[in-house]
Amino acid sequence: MPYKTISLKLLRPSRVKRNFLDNALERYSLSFEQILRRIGSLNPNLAALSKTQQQKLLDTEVMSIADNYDAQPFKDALKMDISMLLSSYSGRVKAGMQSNFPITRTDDEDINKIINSDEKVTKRQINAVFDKLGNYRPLLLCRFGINRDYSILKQNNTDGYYVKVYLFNLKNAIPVNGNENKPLKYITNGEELTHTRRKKRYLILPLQTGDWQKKHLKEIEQGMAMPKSAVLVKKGHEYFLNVRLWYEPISAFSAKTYLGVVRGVTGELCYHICSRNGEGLETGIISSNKNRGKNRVHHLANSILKLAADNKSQLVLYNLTTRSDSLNQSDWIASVSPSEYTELEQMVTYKSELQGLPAPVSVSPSGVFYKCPCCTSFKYANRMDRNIFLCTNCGFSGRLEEIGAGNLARALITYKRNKLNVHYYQQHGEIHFYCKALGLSYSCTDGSHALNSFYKYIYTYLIESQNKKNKKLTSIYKKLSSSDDISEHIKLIPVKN
Amino acid sequence: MNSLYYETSYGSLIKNGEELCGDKVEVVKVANDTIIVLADGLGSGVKANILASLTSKIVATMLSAGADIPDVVETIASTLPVCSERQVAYSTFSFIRIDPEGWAHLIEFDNPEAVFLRGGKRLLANREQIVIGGKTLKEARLKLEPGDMCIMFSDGVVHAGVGKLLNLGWQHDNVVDYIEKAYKKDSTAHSLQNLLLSACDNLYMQAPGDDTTVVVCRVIPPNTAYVMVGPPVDKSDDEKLVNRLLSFNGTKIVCGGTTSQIVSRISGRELITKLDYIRPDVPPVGTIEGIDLVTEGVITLGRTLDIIKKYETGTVGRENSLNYKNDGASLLAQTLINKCTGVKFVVGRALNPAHQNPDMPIDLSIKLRLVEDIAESLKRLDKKVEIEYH
Repeated sequence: MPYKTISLKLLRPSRVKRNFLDNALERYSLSFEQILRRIGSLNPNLAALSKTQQQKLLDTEVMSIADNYDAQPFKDALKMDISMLLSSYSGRVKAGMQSNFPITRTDDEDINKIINSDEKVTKRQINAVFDKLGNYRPLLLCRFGINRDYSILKQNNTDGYYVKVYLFNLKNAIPVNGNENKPLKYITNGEELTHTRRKKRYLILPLQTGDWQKKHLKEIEQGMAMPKSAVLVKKGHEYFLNVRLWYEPISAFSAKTYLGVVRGVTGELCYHICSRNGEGLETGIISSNKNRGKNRVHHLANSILKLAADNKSQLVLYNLTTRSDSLNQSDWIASVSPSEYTELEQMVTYKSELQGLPAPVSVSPSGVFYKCPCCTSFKYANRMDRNIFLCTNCGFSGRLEEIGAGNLARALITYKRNKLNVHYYQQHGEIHFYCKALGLSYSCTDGSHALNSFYKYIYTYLIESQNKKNKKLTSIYKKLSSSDDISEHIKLIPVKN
Repeated sequence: MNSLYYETSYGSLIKNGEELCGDKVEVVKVANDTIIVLADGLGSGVKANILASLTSKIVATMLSAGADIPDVVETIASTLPVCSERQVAYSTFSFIRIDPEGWAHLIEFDNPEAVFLRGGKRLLANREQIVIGGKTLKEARLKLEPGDMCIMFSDGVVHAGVGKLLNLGWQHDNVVDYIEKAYKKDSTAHSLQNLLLSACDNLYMQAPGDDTTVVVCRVIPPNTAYVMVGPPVDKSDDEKLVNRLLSFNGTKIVCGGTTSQIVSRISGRELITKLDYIRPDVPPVGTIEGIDLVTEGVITLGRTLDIIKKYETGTVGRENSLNYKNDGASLLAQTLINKCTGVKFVVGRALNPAHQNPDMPIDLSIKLRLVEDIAESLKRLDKKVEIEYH
């Protein structure tokens, strides 16, 4: 499911509204922390519980803590938010990572405990208390809708957008302001907002929208995007509403080319585009133009996706989480680290879905920079120096990063062409076949029928393996089934018995 | 001790835009010694070709006649035409003379240093400087052993890639490093020479900036192939010939279905025919324990002759026509060319009953003719060839 998060800034709320917002954040944060501490103190072994068991801890009695802080409107959000935090915490503990029970906010009482503690207090503990002193936790608004946690409105005949946020319980509902007579419509169904003469439990807040925000708000109006949850966040003196949008997946086009992207030597990334039969079309360097941090990764990802869209390409990347591409040398390191490349891969994957591009395929990085595209010889000795490839088997040469990108682009073509090795030997009138990839052995009487008999056996074996849901065998089955003649995909290798 | 055999292969890339190569190689055999000369004429094109040709011919001829090195150098200096533009008559040269026991004498004048390999690693050859007629030459003497290789190359190799993939060119140390990495135990002189030239061509991006020549000499102990083709006329000779085959000290090859069956019957070893048709026009090979290669007869010999002729008449650079496939004809050609220094054909003249069919165009004379043609080609490839008829 393709999601995108957009950040909408609240337009200069008045002093009164700022107080209301701060108050809501305060109530939410206090409730959150107190509920968390309560269940933490009641269940020392909380990390070991399953998700369902943890959710059961948030029963009516525990959630009634929120009543003490007039946080009734946020109870559902608190439940969801606390569950997610506990799930993350227990995930880290079960993975063997060192993780203390989460604290999201501290107060003066926590400072006093530190000061009055008989035990030795570490600098880390002191910092933990002060870093989170009076901390506001982002306020989760879990449902979008007309009378739900939040909704978005638009002023008639203008480009002005507003957000309606439920922040108050009945006791603290605020009176309707006589000046609030701007005609506003809900952007999802065009229904007009009607003010009652009673008190209201919500705030209407104008949004500061630039072109980028308007683009996405229009997509909501047109039904192309659907708002899901949102969080209200305070940064400095400004308030933001970060809205999570869901987009209907666009059907991906049928790729006409392959685009391989590898870590570069002379630049950050190097790419190669080839046709479906492996003919090279274009090679180049992708640069982030001196962007840094997250912006750098976004910039690189967007550049890759533009290339893929312009060339109708199936994107091929490599997986660096379990294996290295052996690009770094003892005296030199590529400018894009393996973790950055992995982050880039994840970003490209979700962005490609949003843009209607085929999902990228991730392959093994083994030999990408060391396999000769001419004779397929794979040797580390093929790397002559940092960026020169010189095959020690056939003499083919080129720039290492371009060859790597080319090998990656053609990886899927090579996979389809690779044959299944079947070893055989003949002895005493019998012939014995063995295929390591399939893990099968077969013997029969030697003769002209032997091969056909073996091929039939392979088919039966693979069909039966579909029931066992073995990915590798399924993949081999698909490959063998792709043509009428199974022998096209099989390489017979005689061995001495 | 049996004389060592020196398998030599050389090839060149012509400078982009020129029609003639300015490098020249001469290989001569004189009184069991092997002399290899590599000359590089100044400049490129016709002038350089003339300079290099003159130089290599003078060196080879004079050494063959027993001349001393100072005489050779003085003759070259006085013979070479002077360039009207540069007012210089100049050609670099290197030559190596190796006797049948492996003693090698190397002389180099302004050519990149030759590289010697032993076990795939560089063998250092101490060079001494000698001055003749104002020219400084380098001289080295060393004893070569079976398996050693000597690689000589012109400066086009050292400068490969300059201005293209490599700013400073390939450079001598990198060339040596590459040779060591590329070396394989079964590397032949031709395969290594071809590989180096291919690397140069690729580094120059198929537009050589200079004439580029590589000469490789591989030292191998002599190895003769015993090739049994066709059954003997007299059946009583079957056992004798088969036993000679089995006891022969060298590579053993059997060509022909009937012949294979005879060998199998008399030796008591199973004849197994392989399943895979590597080439549709060449029958599959078989195996008999103790025999290095078992092929079909006439059709395979015909294809083998095609391959050997293509190899023999290859263009400058000795284009690899062996292809290193595994069909019977390719295997037979590879074995005779790469693994053997001599071949003994033992040809049976018995008529194949199948060939009596008037619908079959093949007859005995074709088989004999094929064997003779293969033998002639192999002789031109410097193999010692014998044919025995039964």
